[in-house]
Amino acid sequence: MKRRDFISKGIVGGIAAGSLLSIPGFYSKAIARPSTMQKSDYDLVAIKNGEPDVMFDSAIKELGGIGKFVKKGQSVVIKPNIGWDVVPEKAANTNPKLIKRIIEHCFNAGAKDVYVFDHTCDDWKRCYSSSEIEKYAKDAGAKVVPGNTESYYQEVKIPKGKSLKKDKVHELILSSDVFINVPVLKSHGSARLTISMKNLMGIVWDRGYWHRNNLQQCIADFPTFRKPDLNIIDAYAVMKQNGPRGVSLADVVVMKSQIISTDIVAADAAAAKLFGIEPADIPHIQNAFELGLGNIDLSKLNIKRLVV
Amino acid sequence: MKKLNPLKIFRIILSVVFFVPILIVFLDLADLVPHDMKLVFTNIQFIPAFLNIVQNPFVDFAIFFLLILITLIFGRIYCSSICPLGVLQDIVYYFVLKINKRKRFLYEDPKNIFRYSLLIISVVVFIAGNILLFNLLDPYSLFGKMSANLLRPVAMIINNGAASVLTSFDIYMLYPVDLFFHFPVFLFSLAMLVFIVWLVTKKGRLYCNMICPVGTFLGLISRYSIFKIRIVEDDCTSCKVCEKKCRAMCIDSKGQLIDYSRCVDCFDCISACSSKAIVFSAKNPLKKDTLIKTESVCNKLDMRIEIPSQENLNNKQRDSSETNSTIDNSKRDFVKTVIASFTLPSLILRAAETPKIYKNSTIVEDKNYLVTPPGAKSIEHFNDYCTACNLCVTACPTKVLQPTFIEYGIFNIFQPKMDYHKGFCNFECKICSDICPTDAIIKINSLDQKKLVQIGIAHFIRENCVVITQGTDCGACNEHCPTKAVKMIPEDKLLVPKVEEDLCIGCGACEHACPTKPYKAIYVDGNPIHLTAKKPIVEKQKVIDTTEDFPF
Repeated sequence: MKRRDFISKGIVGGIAAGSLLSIPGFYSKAIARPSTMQKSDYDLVAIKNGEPDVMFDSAIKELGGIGKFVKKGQSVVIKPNIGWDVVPEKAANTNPKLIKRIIEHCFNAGAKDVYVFDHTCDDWKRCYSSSEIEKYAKDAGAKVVPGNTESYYQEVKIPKGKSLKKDKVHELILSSDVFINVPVLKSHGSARLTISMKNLMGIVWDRGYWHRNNLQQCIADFPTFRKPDLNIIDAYAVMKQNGPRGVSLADVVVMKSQIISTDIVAADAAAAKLFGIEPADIPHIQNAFELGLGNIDLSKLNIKRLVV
Repeated sequence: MKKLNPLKIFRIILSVVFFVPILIVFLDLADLVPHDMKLVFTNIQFIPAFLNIVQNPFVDFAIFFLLILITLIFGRIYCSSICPLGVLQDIVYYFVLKINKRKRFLYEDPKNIFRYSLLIISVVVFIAGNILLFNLLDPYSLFGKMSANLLRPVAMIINNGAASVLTSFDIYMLYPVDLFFHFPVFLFSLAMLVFIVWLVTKKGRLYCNMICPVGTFLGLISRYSIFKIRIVEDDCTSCKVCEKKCRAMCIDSKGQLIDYSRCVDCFDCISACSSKAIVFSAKNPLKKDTLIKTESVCNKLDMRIEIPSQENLNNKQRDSSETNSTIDNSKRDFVKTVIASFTLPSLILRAAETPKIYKNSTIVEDKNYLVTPPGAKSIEHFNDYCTACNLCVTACPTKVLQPTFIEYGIFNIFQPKMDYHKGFCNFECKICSDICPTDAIIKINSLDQKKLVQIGIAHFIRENCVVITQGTDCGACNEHCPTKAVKMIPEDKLLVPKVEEDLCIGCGACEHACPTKPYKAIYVDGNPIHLTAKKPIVEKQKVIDTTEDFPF
């Protein structure tokens, strides 16, 4: 039973409950859902020299189209990076045009609903608006959902985590059929780089816990609970320094690239290489590899390289 | 019931025109009202207009003089329609009449000694450098406190309930907001509301005619206003209906006298009079002038109400800066204890989920000054002009602006501060400086300018930092820092924060994000006088040749 069904069956209670408290532990019994996606011919697709939306069109085709991941009537949740109240040119947030195109593909594949949210760092309304993601996502027909209210978050257990044993996760991640992770590649003052795994800090409630309790391990621990079904890394404009927020446009370099993979470790490893850092030098990528979450050795993967 | 007269209809329309927007301004949960509009409806209030003219006598004089002029021509229209607290009392009175149809007032002598003393004290105390009485008594600021602390939470609960229902139907049009609740201001607002409702029930507009310094001051002018309520002696049957209907209790029907210093232009008497013996006119219908019960003290008082010169103000600021520069720590500790006792239940709840792995931080932050919002210029300036109307508190998108209790000192009760445990100052925002009606927060012209206003400086406590105590990466402070005043310096395999004070603007993003408990490893100490930070360093990155092969 989904939480919203639960509430609509008891709306009277829902008014009080929803306004003042959340329903703690409602999802504590929720089981980590394994990725049920079919394997495509390629483990990873890397593409360059095109506009973000155009690159996505070609890249997803190589993976067999979005229809491999999104079935008719399913609900999809898309998690971009919308962390900061800055304009798209500063590349602190995922490219809005890319988000729009992904949503369009999902609806073309017959998705019932597409949701977009992030637990932002700056004021969420300003982030949603300045990043232009709200506008583009709504244009494409998606539901743009707030992520900065604790009542949306449900407690879950993370049995395989080393440092992170439990957390509160946004209910849309738990209730949606398909989870698409769309990070932007950036430098990062603490995690070194922020890519797919670091982007998942925006679907949990208490980031401070991660920071206090071995950040690099917590970042690797979380995907043992729920791996995104697809990771689409926006490396069109890349913040090479002063990340993740950035100071000026001078921090940004145009790389016109994109990486897509179901393997979250491989996707991050490839992006790290693109950035110019060895994946094993990023502790959370190495930690995730050691937890068996994916492949850090790109030479063992079947990679499709495309130039538009 | 008598038919409404056109003047009363006009008064009601005017009240709605002024009251509804200001109510919306304070209840605007989704920040839908343009900020300029917010300023329009709050700037026309008397005390904000007065504080503006005190600060910029040659720029912001129009509204103040217009309010005086209106009073001089028509009497206390400000009190009847423009003042939100006045209208609020009329609304309460409307319901009083609904409940008790036989509600009658009788003429009472003015409480002159009390009201004029209060006015003198308010002004003298203000000139002496203290805004306390305006803060507590100004009807606009009082209405602001009530709306922000009593009505707004109710609106929030309704909003959250509605949002929750809509969400259950998969509609995300409304969203839940964090409930705003600040106990001391809440208590004060509630007490004042109860007191005013009680006064209205018993004595009509007595707040306006005994306590309110604005009402008393405008009363001094309205005695000489051109248009007045006048009794046509020949038509008057001395039936006392007008006296019984007068919510200001200022009509003495026996002697056919009206105390114009207390008439709030409600025009009820005109409707009530069946012999049409009451008119609102410029000319006296009688040969004999309707006398006002003047007290000789009033005339002397007129002289005292003068605008303090800039020189006086400067002296005052200098004086207060000397006294304020050493903040009494015992007072501060007392405040902390008081606040702690309010937040104790939540702390107990939180203790249950304390992580086992993380070791608590040990060193207490050494904060010497509170942080005031960008545009406040200095703690002194801010303390001198803020009437704690709470408008900025309701408008701040990150909720970093929070009312205080007595952290600024008892004379500056309720004035807001930057509370970095609640939020941090959004780099791209200067709403508070745009909307402050009293110019306690002076308008900053451009965002670029605001981004360099240094309201405080971040200080790093190495011994509290996760990177040092846990030996793991953290860097939440650097992550959030908009100017990169917080740098990460490599040490062994880890990165340790370091603050470049020149670049820091004191926005508190680092302090807010710092995950250490119970004490932060990085915190902002306020600048008593705001400074200008250095511009962030810009290092251009090399252009990348995208035609190269993939590096994998």
